[in-house]
Amino acid sequence: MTTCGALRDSLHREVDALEDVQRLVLDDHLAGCARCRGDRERLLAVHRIGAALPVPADARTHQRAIARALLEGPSTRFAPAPRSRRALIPLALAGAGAILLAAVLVLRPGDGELAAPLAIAPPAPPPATVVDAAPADAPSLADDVVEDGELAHDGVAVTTVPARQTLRAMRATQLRLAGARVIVAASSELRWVPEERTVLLERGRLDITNGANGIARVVAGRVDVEVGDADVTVEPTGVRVTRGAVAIREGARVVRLEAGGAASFEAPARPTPQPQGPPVAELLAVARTRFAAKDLAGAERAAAAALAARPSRADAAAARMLLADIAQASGALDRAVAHYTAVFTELAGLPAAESALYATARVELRRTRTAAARALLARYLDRHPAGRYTDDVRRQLAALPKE
Amino acid sequence: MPASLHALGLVALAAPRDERPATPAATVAPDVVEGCRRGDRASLEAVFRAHAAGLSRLLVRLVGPVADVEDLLQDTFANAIASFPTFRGEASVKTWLYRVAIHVAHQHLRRPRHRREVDLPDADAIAAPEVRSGEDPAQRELGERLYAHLDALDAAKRIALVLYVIEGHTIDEIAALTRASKAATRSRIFWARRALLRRLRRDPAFGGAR
Repeated sequence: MTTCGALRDSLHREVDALEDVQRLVLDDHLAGCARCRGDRERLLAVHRIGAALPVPADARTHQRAIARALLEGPSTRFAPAPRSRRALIPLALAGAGAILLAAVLVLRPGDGELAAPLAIAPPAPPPATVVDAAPADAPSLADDVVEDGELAHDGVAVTTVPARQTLRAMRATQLRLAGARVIVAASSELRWVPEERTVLLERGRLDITNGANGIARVVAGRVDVEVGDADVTVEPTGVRVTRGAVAIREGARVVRLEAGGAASFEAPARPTPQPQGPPVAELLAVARTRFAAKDLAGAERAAAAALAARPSRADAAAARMLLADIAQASGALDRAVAHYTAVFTELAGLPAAESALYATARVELRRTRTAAARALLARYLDRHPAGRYTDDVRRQLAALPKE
Repeated sequence: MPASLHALGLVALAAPRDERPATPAATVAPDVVEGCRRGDRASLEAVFRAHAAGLSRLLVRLVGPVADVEDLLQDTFANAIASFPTFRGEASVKTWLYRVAIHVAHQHLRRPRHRREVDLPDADAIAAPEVRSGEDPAQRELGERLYAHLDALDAAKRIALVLYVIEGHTIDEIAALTRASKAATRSRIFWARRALLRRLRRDPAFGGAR
């Protein structure tokens, strides 16, 4: 009888993938070898299960991956699979050098700050429109407009922009939204919610020339700008008004900004770290323990201390999430929203950002701010089409009253 | 003159479901390949669109059902963009892109946070897992168990085994895709299969006994 080893490479193959002779030899062997029979069943199961794995990536996922790869470039330089550990030594040394250099740059005072309070800056000259900065070979965009969700070219509608669809401007682009002229800086990402006349600016910059019945709100990061009859430039890090007036809301605070005024969200000078202070992980552990024991004040002190102690991005997200949960438990929903928002805007690449975005929507639902909740839920679906809360989010969106 | 979103400088990051483009044929014209080498955006996009579905499937099979396929796909494309100038055309674009994807999967599998302690509950004592619409929960559970076992294997060996048993490639093809010798490939498959079968023989979900 043939040995088990001689048939090893045939065990995982389906019968119809074997030649007649192979099949006969295999059948002969399997009839007298229970171990190989079992292994064949297992390997066939491996083949079938692996081949039937669902692929959670549709055309939208492909498009997003392509767009990000094209825009953001390579994350790591491709090299052939490493052949030996010795070959990696120069790379490891180069990597260590790069990390050291990055650490020196990052740890310079004033860089890399976390969320900072709203700061009002003195009036500044109006910015140049970004169309001027478009590359020389870019076609003129003056006649390309999105009219209330419809993209037109030379006055002829060419395609429809579905509501709540995130658009990324590959170059400086002029749109028309609800009658307002909007110049979108290159690499900006935005979403238009027509029924609320709201622009959600994910990143980048908008120069808006607005009328009284134009855009109602621009939400950029933590900043929520109520735009009236005004000309305004909005970025996640600041707002500048060149005509009229706007109201800026950040958490519970509302600031009115007149023409010529600017508000920035730049970070303040970094507080001197306490070298002898307890490590961030320890502070977070204390905060969690206190929170579990319903000592909200103690938990908040520990979490705030962790946040002030130069945490890593992951620890900063953990501290913010804790502070938000504590604020929710205390009934301070504005503060909770501010912390959650900081996580999903400033720490967007981290897993906590998904939870933070969902939690913000839940808070807005809790205080029956339907429009804000709807916008946040839509934003969640857009960012996480197959996320942990996608099904819940869809259900909640469907349950919201129509406007 | 009609214009598309892209022509106007806008990329729709979330196309509505009913507007999914059909997957184009996976053949690549020589001028498109030349465009890719030059870094021409339209050429790169055309090539990536043509192969995105196949690459997604390959990545899922290599790393398992829990990984973030979109990130891995993005990394594959980003690596391909950086490396296209060195593409000599000795292999087809598809094979070359598959090599890049396998490299990305390999890097992913070697990250420490990917690897986890495998502690499987009894097959008949598992609570009903969270189910996505259209998925068979039993099948999904089996998939997760299988990949939990695969997670215990060395990344290079695991990739060779998956390409051999699940993807159905020959030893020669796997050697070319992973840039390894045939002997090394054969050895990796041998050791990976042995380790996997040892684990499966103890797993009741795969007909094993504890």
